Amino acid sequence: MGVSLPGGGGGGRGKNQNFDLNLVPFIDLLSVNITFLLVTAVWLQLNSVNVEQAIQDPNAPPPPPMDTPPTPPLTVHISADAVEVFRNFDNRKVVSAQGPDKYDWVAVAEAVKGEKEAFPGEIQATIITDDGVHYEHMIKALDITREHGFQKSLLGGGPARNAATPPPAGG
Amino acid sequence: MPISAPKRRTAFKPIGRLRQNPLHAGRKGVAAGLNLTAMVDMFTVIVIFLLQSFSANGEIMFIQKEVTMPTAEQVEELTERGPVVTLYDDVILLEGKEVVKGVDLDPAEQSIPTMVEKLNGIREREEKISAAMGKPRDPSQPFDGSIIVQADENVDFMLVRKVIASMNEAGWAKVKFAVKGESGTGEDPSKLLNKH
Repeated sequence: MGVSLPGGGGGGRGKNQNFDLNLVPFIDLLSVNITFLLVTAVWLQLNSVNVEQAIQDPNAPPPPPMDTPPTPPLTVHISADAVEVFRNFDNRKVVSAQGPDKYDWVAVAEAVKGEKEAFPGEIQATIITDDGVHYEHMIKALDITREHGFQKSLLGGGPARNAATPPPAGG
Repeated sequence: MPISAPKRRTAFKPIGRLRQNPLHAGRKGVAAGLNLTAMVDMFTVIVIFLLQSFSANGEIMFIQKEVTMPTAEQVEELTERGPVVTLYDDVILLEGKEVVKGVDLDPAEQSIPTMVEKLNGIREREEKISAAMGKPRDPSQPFDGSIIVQADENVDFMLVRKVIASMNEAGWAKVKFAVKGESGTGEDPSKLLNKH
């Protein structure tokens, strides 16, 4: 690497004013930097989906009765055969599975979106997953409800039940 | 080009070098000058790339090679360290140590007693540490710690359910499901179907 100072030249008769920079310290510094950054690098950035489960205090007094019955929370029930989205079990939307371990999440997202539009102020969703269903589907359902503004989530589940039987209230 | 035997060089060319350095006696120098500019450029590019991808948070947890974590879009950054529960195939680990196998679980039982016992121990230890640091827990408030669940995407939900029930029983209310975040949140919904 040469540096040319102004006023140099002169047809080769004067003293050559080009000089070489000593690159060795630069290379040392860069090598140390590269080694440090490679050692401390985190190649896989992890994220999390956070859920706060309610722990009931058995000694807590019961809540006072409400004048108007509360809106039942949105429930997404994932079974081996279908995904059901409902607030009232009799009016549930059933999205049938498209095969073993394959669900139509677009249709589920549409159903959740419809529920959010019907009750914009509601932010609680209950995800009920049957035993035998893969964990990734619970995460997908959780992701879809979060995407549509249901920030509070409750998780529930149990052995697979008869399709005509409603799940236990509140998961 | 025909190969010819080396001959004695004429004194015309080396005469300049001989004048510059008489010790070389006109012979060609053996040491070759490396052009380091390209190497410095390459090193600079590598340093910039590594600095851009540098994470000050460091590695929160060790990822088991058997675990393929699910992906999600609505995620938060995993920054806080906590006890890690790992689930894959039929195995449940707590802090890297096997707690129980799925086949040994009692289907009638909601939680896993061994796990409840171990989580109670961790919670009590953390509360003691907080008290020793001058920040004792308010007894009227629930325990504030959180647990990281690192589960394989194909694990049976029954195992996850029992783990969550065990956490609740031991007083751990906050659960963080470790996932791989998908880049960008505005994904085309039609792609969701193709993924599953």
